[in-house]
Order: sequence, then structure tokens, then C-alpha cells
Amino acid sequence: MTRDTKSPLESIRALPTNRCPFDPDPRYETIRTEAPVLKVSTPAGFDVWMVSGYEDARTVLADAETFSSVDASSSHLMGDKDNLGAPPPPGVMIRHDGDSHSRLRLRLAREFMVKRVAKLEPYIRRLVKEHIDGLAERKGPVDLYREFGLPVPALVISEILGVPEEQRDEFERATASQVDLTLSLEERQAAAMESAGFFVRLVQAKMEEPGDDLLSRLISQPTERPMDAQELQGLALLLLAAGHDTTANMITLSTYTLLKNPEQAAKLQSPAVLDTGIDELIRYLSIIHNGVLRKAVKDVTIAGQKIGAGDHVAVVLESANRDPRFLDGADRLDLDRHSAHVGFGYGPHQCLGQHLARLELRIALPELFRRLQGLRVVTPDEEIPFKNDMLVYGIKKLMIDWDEVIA
Amino acid sequence: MKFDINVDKCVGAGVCAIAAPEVFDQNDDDGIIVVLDPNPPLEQAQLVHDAATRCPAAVITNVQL
Repeated sequence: MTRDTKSPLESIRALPTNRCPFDPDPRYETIRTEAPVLKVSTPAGFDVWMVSGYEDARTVLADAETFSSVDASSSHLMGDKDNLGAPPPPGVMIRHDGDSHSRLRLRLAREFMVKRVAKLEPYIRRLVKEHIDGLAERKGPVDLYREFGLPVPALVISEILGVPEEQRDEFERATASQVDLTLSLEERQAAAMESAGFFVRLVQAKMEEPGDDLLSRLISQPTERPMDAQELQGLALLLLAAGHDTTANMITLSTYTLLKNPEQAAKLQSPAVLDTGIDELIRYLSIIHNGVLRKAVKDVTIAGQKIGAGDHVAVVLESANRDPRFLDGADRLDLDRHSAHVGFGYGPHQCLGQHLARLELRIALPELFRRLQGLRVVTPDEEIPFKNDMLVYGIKKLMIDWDEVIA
Repeated sequence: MKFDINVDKCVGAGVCAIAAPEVFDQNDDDGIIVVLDPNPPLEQAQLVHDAATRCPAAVITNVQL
């Protein structure tokens, strides 16, 4: 294949990072067809092969024997490159390969099964109700991300991990401060240390006195190789990192998106639509931003491009999910449609908490739109602070108001 | 209709259990695929095909009418 030297691709040397604001960088349209595996530089200072098409994305993510997860999935965006190749922290299964990964994954899979997650529904409904009641008491405008998006998923995780009731407010504050971009870096780092310390004490407490929760079951249940305290702490931090800000951003960004698409928002009150609609939002918004990183452990060819052993690959989910070869009219939001999207990733590392995320969204979004009559964003569109510079795409602060709160 | 499964590849994501809940479930012990109906009626074909397409570990293969 010869490539036109005047191709717009010639100017693409760096990983595209800016969305606009619901769609991925428009250059992905050209990149997907003309250079589906393209070498680009990254914010972390090393080059990656950027994989942007749907089928290629699935091929790479499914082949975990060739494409290792040992380097953190966002190292190309933040990590300093000297950390590449470092051994994965204990318990942080997204960075383990092969048996080391599946041993952890299969011990946890049952905790996040559809039927297990369904038992959390009454608790999630209660949280959603209480937090909407809380908005009503405070009166608008309020920041939806901080006052609703962040606390609901944090409290769901605290329930799963068995955080004692009296410590949940403290837990919620520390976890929210970690990702609240209105705070300084120092304040966020201090909050991250606080959360880590919290989990050290929580694991210790569960080892001394197990309860009916995920950590206690991992401690008490007979197994060939019990998890030690360090693994449990790593795992608890991972579950928080994976399940908290992701869901918070989905709640916030989906609300803004649906307010911009009122004909779609009108469908939210139909349970049948929610069966497909929540996944359609996950596909359309693809909040895992700028690709997930893998490392080739041997030479391999993807879409005609040779990738050498040791090279890094970034699979750009927001582009794959808009690939017209996978889905007609992929740039359109249509809550009635169904697709095999890769918003939760693909392959053995596909999101473990996906059923929980779906359940939280399918409870939270319709309730926000049903109860907050006249729901609206008060910030002008051009001043909405989108998270182009973050690992998870979303909105840093979304000031909303409403006319009336109904029961 | 028929299909094959490769249990060893299953990672317990549970996508099959939401795609075709009358045909697939998850084992209570480890979340791994459980086949509820190895010869489902034809009206399940689309759902089984969907489960096969969406399964992140390609556990379900040879979906045949």
C-alpha cells in the first residue's frame, strides 16, 4: 500500500487527546481507514502503536498471550516511562497476565455476577433516593458530579467491601477528594493517601473479625492460595479506582448528553429501552479516554502492520466504538439499539464490574430525569470543563438546577 | 439449535447471562458459564448468537441452527 505523502495523517504525530465534546477527535475517521495501526508519541514520552478500528481492537484485547497487561493501562498518559516493565503490585489484577490474572479474576467474578449484583438494587435505590432528596434540600444550582455522581458509586463500593456504616461518610469524602479537580494536586494526593490508609485498616479489621462482605469472603473462604493483606489492599484500591470515578463520570456526562438529546432522554422511563440504552450510552461516550495500553511480548502483525516484541499498543476504545464497519451510524446516539461495543473493553480483562455499572446507571439516570422536573445545566456550553486531560473522560463540574423535585 | 462452549476460556464476565438468560447462567462458585439449555429452541438463536459475539473470551462457538 502506498501512502499519499500529503495525507492528513502526516501531521498526526501525537496521540489525539481532545474530544469535541461528545465525539472522539474527528481525525480518527481518517486514521481508522488509512492507518488503523499508527505509531504516535504519547504524553508519557514514549511511542505507541495506536489501534483505532473495532475489529483490530477486539483482536488485540482478546489475545492476552501476545499483548501483555503488565504495564498499567494508562502508563502512556501519565506514568513516567522508567516505570514500564516494573512488576505489577500484588492484587492489582488488571496488570497481571495468564494464570496469575485468572486466579484473582475467577475468585472475584462471582462477587460481580449478574445475580449477585442484583441483590444490591434496593441499596442503590435507597442511595439514589437519598441523594436526590439531598439535592432538593440544598436547592440549586449544585454540582451534579460532586453531590450525586461521586457519592453514589463510592457508597456502593463501601457496601460491597463492608466499610462500617459509621465510617462511610469519611470514606466518601476521602474518595471524592482524590478525584475532585477543583482541589489542588496536594489536596488530592493527601486524600489518596488517606484512602490507602483507610484500606490498610479495613483489611486488618476484616482479618480480625470477618463480616458478610467481599473482603471477608476472600479472607475466610478455603482456597489453594489465600490472599495476603497486601493483595487485599491492592485489590480494594483497584475496585475503588475502577468502579468509582468511572461511574461518576458516566452519570455526569450522560446527564449532560441526554439534556442535549431530549428525544433520547424521553425514552429513559421505559425499562425495555434501558436494557439497550445504558449500553448505548456506554458505547457512545466511551469514557475510558485515549486508549488502553498493552505490550507485545512477541512479533505480531495487526492490520498489515508489523509490531515488534516489546512495542506498546494503545487500543483507542472511543474510536473503535464509532467504527462504521462495526455499527451503522455509529456517531448517532440511539438508546433503542443494541451492539457488541467495547466500552467495557474486551478479552480476559473486560470490566469485571460491568453489571454493577449498568445497574447503577439504570437506576440513577431515570430517577434524576423523573424527579428533577425542569432539570437543566446552568453553565453556558462553552464553559463546561470537559476532562480532555484525564484518564477517564467526563465533566469536572456540572452545575445543574431544576424547577421542582417530585417524590 | 446448537452451539459449543470452551469452559476453560471463561473469565466469568457474565455477558452471556444477560444476552441469553434462558440459555446461560453463571456458576455460584466462580461465575463461570453454566449452560441451562444445550439445545435451545430456534427463537433463542439470535440471543445465543449475540452472547457468542459479545463474550469477551470467545467461549461460545459453532452457533448453528
